[in-house]
Order: sequence, then structure tokens, then C-alpha cells
Amino acid sequence: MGNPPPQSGGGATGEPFARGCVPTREGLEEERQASRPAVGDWLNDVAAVVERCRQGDALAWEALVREFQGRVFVVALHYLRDSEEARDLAQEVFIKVYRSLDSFTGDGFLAWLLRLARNSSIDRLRRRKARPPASDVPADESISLPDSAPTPEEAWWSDSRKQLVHRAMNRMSEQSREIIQLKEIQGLKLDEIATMLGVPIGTVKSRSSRARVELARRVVDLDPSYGTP
Amino acid sequence: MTQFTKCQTIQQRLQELLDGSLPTDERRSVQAHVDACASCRELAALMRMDLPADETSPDLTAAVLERTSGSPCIRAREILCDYVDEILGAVDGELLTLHLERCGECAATATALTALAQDLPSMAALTPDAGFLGEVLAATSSRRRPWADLGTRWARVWAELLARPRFAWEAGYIGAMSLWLFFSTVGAPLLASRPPLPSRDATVQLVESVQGRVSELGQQAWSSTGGQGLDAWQAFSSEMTERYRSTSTAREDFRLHSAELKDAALQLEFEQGGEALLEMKEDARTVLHGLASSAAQTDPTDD
Repeated sequence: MGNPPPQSGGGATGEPFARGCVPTREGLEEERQASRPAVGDWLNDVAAVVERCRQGDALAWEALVREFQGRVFVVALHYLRDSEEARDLAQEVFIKVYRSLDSFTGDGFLAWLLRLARNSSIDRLRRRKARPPASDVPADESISLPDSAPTPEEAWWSDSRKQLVHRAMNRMSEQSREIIQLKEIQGLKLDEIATMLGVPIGTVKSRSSRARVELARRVVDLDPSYGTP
Repeated sequence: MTQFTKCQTIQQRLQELLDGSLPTDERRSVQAHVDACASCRELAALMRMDLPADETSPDLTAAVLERTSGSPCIRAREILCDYVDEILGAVDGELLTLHLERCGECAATATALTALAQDLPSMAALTPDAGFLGEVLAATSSRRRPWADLGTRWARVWAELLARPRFAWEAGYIGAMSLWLFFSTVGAPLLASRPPLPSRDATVQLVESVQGRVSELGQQAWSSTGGQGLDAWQAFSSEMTERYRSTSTAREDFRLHSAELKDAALQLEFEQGGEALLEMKEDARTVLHGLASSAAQTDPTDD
């Protein structure tokens, strides 16, 4: 779905912060968008696609699910930390979306979808805490992956840089991890996150900055060579 | 004007003196003071020296910062994200660049931030297994029969209900309310068909009769078991007491003979001691026989 991430490194000379070699804002934004899963040209008008889905267009619905299934799965995995449960929850989320398409109005379909995924994940976590599992769940830093032949998940996690970032994120607080997931990974806007979390926009901005710096420092602690060419 | 104040005034003019921009009259008076004042002369000499900017000691800088504004890294970390995002003001950007050139830790953090800006967006999506899409479409198909997955839906609803923390309380409350509603409306005739409860006096009479019967049965049980046992025990105790009394003479003889045995042993009179021992044996035999047999039996020594 997404393009392979470009090589890291900031300035033209390779030294990140040499004077006169700072990357441009436009170039930086282009690189970030290229890193995220690409949105089909026609899906740029998500409102139109949703309207088609409301009218019962099965092809539009299939395209919508195919486009956003990865994101919903990642958000569910972030909260539930179990791929089987995250898969199950992701399915439930799409079924809820299908049944409540009429309640979606205006822009921000991705934010609406991810808010639904987040709230569903939190509800499931609360139910899980109220009724703990019969057997102990082993507590380790890694997310449980199914024991099968190499799957897309395992291929995804085989990337050592992603593993490093994931390990560093696991050492952060839940609040910081959440803000990183919503803003830096999923690319939601500040006002969308503020609405989702029920906090002021300024709070989201300050939390985001602190969380980014904390994540960067934790990554450097794990691997001092991270980011260097 | 004191010397200190004069020096202060002169030092404010020193740069102009060195630049040659002072008026002639003022230049003469300032130069004369500098020639006469050792501290101002030393200061002027230092100002004339062309020290490279980088010759300052980093330890000195750190020591000064520690005693004044504190570590600049805290401020640097506050604006580092805006710097990486290219939205920092020009002056702050320049200052931060200077700091990053000298602070390895902050530079590494900035490098990591730039790399994270690339890596994090690529972690936004992870496609589940190939069957996921098909299952979602099957579950959301509009042509599906509404009752097709009724069992699955009911199982899911039931599982969600059971997972509620206060399910037991809620179920008990609903059950109790249901029973009350039933028996107060539709089920009222069932309650009406029950036999009437007895009056209070009848209840008291019933309790008293039961109590009397229990007491009677208890006395019967006692008389047939415990009473007989008590009588037997009393008879046995009396018999044993009588037997013990009948052996008093033999016990007294036993005590006398034991004293004779003791005296004979002390005096080494072995023949007398032996006779006393034989007498003691007979006395003990008499006591034991008396305890073992009833008082009506004759003394064994009589035969």
C-alpha cells in the first residue's frame, strides 16, 4: 500500500544541521506524505466515496475497506497489543462504520474512523480489565504475532528500524505513545486529536513536542547511530 | 567625581578611543587617563588583542551557564521539533544551530527526530491477513439474509453482557423485578390458591405441643439409657467402696510388715527380713483378692 520510506538524512550534504543546508519545508512534507500509505486519486474525495457506500455501492465499500483496513488494524494493535484481538476489533469497527455511515457528515473521514477504532479499543480494554483472562498473559515488550509462515505482519516487523522505534515507543508512557500514534504515525491534525482526546489544542501540541523529543532520545539511547547516514 | 566613577566614564569611551572616533580634546583626556590608570590601561590592552571567538574554554562556558541560566539543552529541546519542522523563527533557528554545533547530545536528538519524521509515517498501516477483507465484506453485505448470523450475533451480545462488571447484580435485580411483576399481575391467582397461614395463637399452641413431645421423648430416652447407666454406675461404685473397706486390715498388716522389713534390712537381720517379706506377700494377696471379689466371699486365708 505505501511507498518504501526514503533514506533518512536532512541536509543536502548529509550532515543534518550544517549551516545553509537545511531541507525545505515543502521537501520535508513531500517526503512524509510519500512515507505514508498512498491514497488513491479518486479517494481524495472521501465524502463522495462515502456517499456511494451509503447508496449501496459494494465496489466503493470494498475500496474504502481496502484503503483503510491497515490503519484501523494498526490503531487497534496499538491499544490491544495482540494481533488476533486487533484483527477481530478491526472487523467490528468496519461493521460499525458500515451501519453508521449515515451519521458521518462533512470532512475528516479518517479522523472519524480512527476515533471509532480508538473508542472501540478502549471499550474492549475496559471489558478485559473487568474480566481478566483465565490464564496469565505474558508481559513482554513485543506484540504477539501468530505462529505461522512469514506473514505481512512479520515482514513488516522484520524491518530493524521499525523494530527499534517500536521498542523505544514501548518504553514511553501510554499518553505519549498515543499522541505519537495519532499525530506522527497516523498524521491526524491537532484539532482532530484535540476533539478525540477531549483536551485543548495547545495541550495536544505541547504533548506532541515532548513525546517526539522523548521518543528521539529513547531511540538514540537504544542505538546511538540511528538516523546517521 | 570619584576615581571609580571616572574610570567607568573612561571605560565607556575606550572602544571609541581604539577606533579613533573620539573628538580630539576628549581623546587627549581619555588617553591621559589610560596612561595614568593601570586598570584602564590593562583593559585597553585587552580590547586591542584580537582573540579568536573559539578560543574560549568549553568548560568555562559550561561553568558559567551552570551558575547563571542553567543548561541550554532544556531550551533547545523545547524548540527542537519546530526546528526540524522548519517553522522556527530565524533568530531562534540560528541560535539553535550554534548550540547543535557544540552539543553532541542535542545534535543526535535532532538527527533522530529527522529520521523519525520519515520512519513514523511508514508505520501507519499494516495490512491484516488476506482473509480480512473478505470477512468484512461478507459481514456487511446488504444482500445477506438478516437471520443468517443471528446465532453469532446473539453469542457476541451474550459475551458482551457477561463481560459487564456488574452483570450478576443486574441479572438478579431484573429477575427479582420480573418475579414481583409476575406475581402482582398475571400470577396473582397462583398466590390466591395457597392455603391460608395459621393464626398466631395456633402457632403458639403448635410450638408448645412440639416442645412437650420433645421433652417426653427425651425423658424416655434418658430413663431407658442414661438412668440405667447411672444406677449401674452407682452400684458399682458402692461395691468397690465396700471391697476397699474390707481390705483395711490387710492393708494395715502390709504397712506394719513393710516397716519390719525396713528395720531388718537396716540391722542386717536377713532371717527376720525374709519373714517380713513373706508376710507382706500374703497381705498384698489378701488386698488384691478383697478388691477383686465381692464382700460376701470368704477370706482366702480361711481355707
